[in-house]
Amino acid sequence: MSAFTKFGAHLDATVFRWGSPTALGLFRIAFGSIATLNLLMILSQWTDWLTERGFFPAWMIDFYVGRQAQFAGREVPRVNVFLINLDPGPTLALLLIYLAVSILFTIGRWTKPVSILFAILTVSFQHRTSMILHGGDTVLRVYALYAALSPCGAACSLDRLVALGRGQEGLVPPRMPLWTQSLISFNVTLIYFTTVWIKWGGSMWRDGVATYYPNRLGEFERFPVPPFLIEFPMVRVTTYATLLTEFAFVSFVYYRPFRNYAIAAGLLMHSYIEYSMNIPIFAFLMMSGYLSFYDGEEFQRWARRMGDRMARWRVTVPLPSGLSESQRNVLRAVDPFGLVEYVEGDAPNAAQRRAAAVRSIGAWVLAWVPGVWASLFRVPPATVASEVPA
Amino acid sequence: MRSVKTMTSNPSSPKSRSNLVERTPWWIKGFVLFHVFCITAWALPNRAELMSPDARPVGTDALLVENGRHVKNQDWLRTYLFVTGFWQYWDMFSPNPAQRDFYGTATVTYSDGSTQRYQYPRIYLLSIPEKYPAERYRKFYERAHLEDSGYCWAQFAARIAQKCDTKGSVRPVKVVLRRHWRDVAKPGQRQFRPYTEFEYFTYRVRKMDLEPRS
Repeated sequence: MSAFTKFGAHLDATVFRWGSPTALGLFRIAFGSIATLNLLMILSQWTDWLTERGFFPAWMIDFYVGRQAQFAGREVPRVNVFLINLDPGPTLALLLIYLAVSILFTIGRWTKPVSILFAILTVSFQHRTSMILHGGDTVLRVYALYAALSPCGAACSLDRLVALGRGQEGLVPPRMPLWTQSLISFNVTLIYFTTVWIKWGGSMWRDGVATYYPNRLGEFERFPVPPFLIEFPMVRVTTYATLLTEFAFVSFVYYRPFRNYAIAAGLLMHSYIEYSMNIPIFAFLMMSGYLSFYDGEEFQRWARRMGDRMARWRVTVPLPSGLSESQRNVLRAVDPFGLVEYVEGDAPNAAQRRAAAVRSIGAWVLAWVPGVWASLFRVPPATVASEVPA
Repeated sequence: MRSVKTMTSNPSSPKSRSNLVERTPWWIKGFVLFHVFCITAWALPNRAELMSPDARPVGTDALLVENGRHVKNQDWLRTYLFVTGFWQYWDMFSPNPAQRDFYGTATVTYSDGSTQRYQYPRIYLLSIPEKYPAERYRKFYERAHLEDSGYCWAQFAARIAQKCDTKGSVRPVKVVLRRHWRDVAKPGQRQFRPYTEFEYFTYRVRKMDLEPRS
């Protein structure tokens, strides 16, 4: 086998691998949360950006980006459900539907159809509001499309808990094709690769003075930064460190021994930008994309290690003997750190159930809904009846 | 779009479950290759951002020129990216970061002759919690105040008139848009220059601008 063939086979096995969808599930939660917060912020200004009396009425789209794409000399319409009815009422209703879809996507309920709807609404929304978009929105849109193609609801989702509760799945998440995860990670590296290439073409980056300017633009100002950080020689340090970080990220993130260092450098860079400059959501979206560089199995092992470190917070909670296997699986699945040890006994009291909920991070999304968490500890009526002696 | 598992042996045998071959269909592999090619070709830097138009491209610049000439302008590529929504180009703070601070104001004249200064949301003046959501306004103004965005100005002024229509029977009749800008002084120079300002558009408010849309 030639080196070329070997490389091709390795690439094939890596890009089109199958495995745990846990990383995609975590990515969905992180990215969905950011998308939801972003939408809430825009909802507070919706009349400015999405109504015909606002700053950006629909007719301006034609001047700014156009409603059509070109194909073989013909015009092909861009996806934009926000153009179906331009009146404020339907537009607000559509926005609220978008918000509901975004929340459902984040918690992972009916994830496959919801993620497709979420992608359509995200693309439509960005085609409608094209003049207020920044780099973070582009990341958000691209992620939404990848999520729609991926099995991101197969882990860390309400769908998964429902399937466990119905006994349709076992405690180990089903293995899934991960080519969409490969595409997400590739897209993250593409962002750094092309950005650092363009930056290298800029004289200010080469001369080591580029970061001098953004820190002096009042319109980007955010939290206070110590003066020495925006003066020389730190300007040269931060300028070249940015180039180096982006270049090193692309070069090393796929090489396992260096992966964590590349990720750590990226986290540091984005954290500093997020702190010092008013560039909403971009840093958090990039950081959520970093999850795609890890396998789901790695997250599962990491959770177990973390659980061992947090052993002093472990509690023992009794479970009644008639509890079904599927109920037990749900309880175990929502406790990835293994902080609750379930033992046979009587039904747990309210304090014990609360202690289990606090330690089960996966339960946080449902434990506050009255009755839901308690029902997981309740023996199903059919089981109780079967235990009654004839 | 989900890949399939195919059996390699008798599916009824429990042992055969471990022999499931996790295989991705060829058409998904083809799509992934096509997609990677498209987004990469589109995201590669444009010639204008790296070199002057009359410079002779060499090395990787030649690659970018060929990409711009023969790939980026293909209808099928543009259609795929723009219709699906996968279009992307990454040029944050590049090739050089912005060096100009700017913001917008307006002077609104009312029917009784009085005037009011309207401050379009300006990040610098906002509190930290207000800055985050207000970035949308900065981004819009970054594009809308430019000379080649003249199509925005009347609507921009009309919207400001609506926002300032808070005095009952005394209504806005005229809006004058003003841009303010200041270039960041180069390293080693003192930043003492004030903001330059320029009235770039005057709008006569129409009655229909102030009526609620039916």
